[in-house]
Amino acid sequence: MTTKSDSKKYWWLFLGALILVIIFLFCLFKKNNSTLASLNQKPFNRYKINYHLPLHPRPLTINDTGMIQYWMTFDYLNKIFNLPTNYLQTTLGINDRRYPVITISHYSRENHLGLDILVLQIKAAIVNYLSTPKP
Amino acid sequence: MSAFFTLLLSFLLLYKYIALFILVFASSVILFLPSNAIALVTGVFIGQGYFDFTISLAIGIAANTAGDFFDYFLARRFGNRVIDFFWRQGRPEIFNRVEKYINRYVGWTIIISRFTGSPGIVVNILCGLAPTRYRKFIAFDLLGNIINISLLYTIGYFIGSYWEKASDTINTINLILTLAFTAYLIYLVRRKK
Repeated sequence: MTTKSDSKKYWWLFLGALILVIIFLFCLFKKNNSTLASLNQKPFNRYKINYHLPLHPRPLTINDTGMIQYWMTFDYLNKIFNLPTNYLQTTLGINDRRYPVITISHYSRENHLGLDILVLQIKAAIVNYLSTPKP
Repeated sequence: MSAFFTLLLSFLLLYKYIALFILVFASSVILFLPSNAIALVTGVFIGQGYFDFTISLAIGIAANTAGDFFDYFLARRFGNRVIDFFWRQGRPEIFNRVEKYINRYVGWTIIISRFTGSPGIVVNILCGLAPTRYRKFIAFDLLGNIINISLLYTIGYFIGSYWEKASDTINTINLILTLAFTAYLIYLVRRKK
């Protein structure tokens, strides 16, 4: 039979172990993220990351353009697909001064554009950029 | 995905860390805001490199703890007056049982309730009513938030763009946990001894 002090001891042991696991996980995270940040200085190096950093989620490719949705911002799309900041602005002829910090739905509403059509245009522009070979 | 949740996501993408603080704080103060889903999506954004890991973690923990403490403080400061106002004839027995239970199992109750979403808010209020000591509440709350947020960020980080599919499963797990926790709480409070 476990006494009260025994159960208290197990409780602290359990917490200690849990904290150690979390510290370990986050050291791993931190290292992973720092390496990512340094690698991101070069264009499209995300495609090489899986080899070096197997723990990081796989990089976004042409096949992932299906995930683009109306609530996303242009800034977010630029970042996750590794696009140049002005690429979507130039390709889609966006004149809004708030670009890229504006959502797709907001932009379409203010400019009286069909939301579905705009999303399709964005997808096409991103596919076009990703499929073009880079030097 | 609900229209309301997409609004929250847009807000998060537009105002980044300020939005993260406001959303996490609000979800730990107001019932029925999807606190776990917000943490999960933040993990996804960290994995995609859109959010910084250290800042998001610090904001997530700070905002959650601040929100929980806000509930606790309000309950501690005004809770008994509210109860006395509604039950002028004398408090129902259930309050004494809850108080007894909270004082006995405060650590586990706070830590486990951090994983359940909305019932966590109820526990904060009960701790304020009991009342649990300030330092004890903050220590266990902080510990629970660190574990919960780390876990959800980790899951979000690794599931990446599949988070929408995974969020249904996580919501189901969350619901089961919530029901189990509520049932356990009711059992402990209603039990004779």
